[in-house]
Amino acid sequence: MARCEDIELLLGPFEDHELEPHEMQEVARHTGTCSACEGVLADYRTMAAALRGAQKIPNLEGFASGVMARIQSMELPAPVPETKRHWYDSVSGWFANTIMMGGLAAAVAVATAIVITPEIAKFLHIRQAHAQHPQMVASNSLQTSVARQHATLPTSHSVVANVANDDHSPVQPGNTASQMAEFNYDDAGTEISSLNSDSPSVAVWTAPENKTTVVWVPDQQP
Amino acid sequence: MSKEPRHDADETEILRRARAGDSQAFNLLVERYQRRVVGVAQAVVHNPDDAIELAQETFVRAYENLTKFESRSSFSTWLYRIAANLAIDFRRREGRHTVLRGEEAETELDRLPSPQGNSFQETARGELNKRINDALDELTAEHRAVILLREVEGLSYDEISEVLQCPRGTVMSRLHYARNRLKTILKDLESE
Repeated sequence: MARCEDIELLLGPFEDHELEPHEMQEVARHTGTCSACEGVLADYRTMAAALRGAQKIPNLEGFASGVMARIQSMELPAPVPETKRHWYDSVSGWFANTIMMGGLAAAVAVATAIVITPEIAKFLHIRQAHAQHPQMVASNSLQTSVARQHATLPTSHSVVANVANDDHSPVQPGNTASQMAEFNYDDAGTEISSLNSDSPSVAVWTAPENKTTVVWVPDQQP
Repeated sequence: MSKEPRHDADETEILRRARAGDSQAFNLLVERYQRRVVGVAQAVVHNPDDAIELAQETFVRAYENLTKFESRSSFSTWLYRIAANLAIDFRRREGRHTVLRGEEAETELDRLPSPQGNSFQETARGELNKRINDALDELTAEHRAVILLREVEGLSYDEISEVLQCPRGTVMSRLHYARNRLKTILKDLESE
């Protein structure tokens, strides 16, 4: 059995027949045995009748003719006849569709260019680098990392990047990666074991699968 | 508890003709809905003269935009929404949050046709009506509009929600508040 507090908010909607069927049943069951809630419903009914009685109904004689006269005096354009409307609708629909499809195609083209262009450039770089220095291809991503790290360094630091391979063949910085052009390289290349590890800012990246290691060492300040 | 738009065959045909430029057909629509459109406007502005003007403007706007009416909602709800929007704008523009207070209300009541016979019951009814209108004036415009649209115009909660462009839950809570507030005000007036 629901309590009055639970039912209170449902009494108005019950009176207005705006509840779900199971709620209507619940309220009906409650009010059947609760004189207080039944009294509230009776108050609502009395109030509704009083409100209807209290509203002054304006005299609407001549209202419709007044509206029509006003419409005619304003010389409003008559609503477009249906047959013409269909013609307009079809033409405007055709234009709208064409413009929408064109816009969509342009957006896709721009998005594709934005996404793909750097990838194409990268691909061409890689191919060119591979042709010149096969090892550079393997360490390409590492070079990029070096470059990024370099970008965060104060300009007073110059970076020496040394790339060493297990076969100890020096890797020359090519012009295939623009970032690498900013680096000063030891022409002969340097093995890691020969580095001065006392430097406080030595960073090492390794790519074992490519048998490649990249090291950068900022110059010491004078 | 959503309702499908109500379009009887007769109304659909009248609408089709009105859209095709048949002013007689539009006149039929005006006659069919004039009372309730006035009622909706009056529920918001609570002034019969303003409500009549707003209702006229509602039908003119409806005529201008008849081709834009899509059958997603019923034609009547579409009309009531135009009326409510115009009335809300009017109230905002005029700064009339309450209309007919104090002496103004008395004057307005004096303009009402005097009851024939002037019996005790009619005097009592007139007194009751005055109290009820006074009580309505104590409500905010939002609460008054909701209770009048429901109790006088007989709109469903969904229709009120659509006409006043507020959620159904808001309609329910405003209605609950308005009923209880009116009850309290009327009891206070009785005890004075």
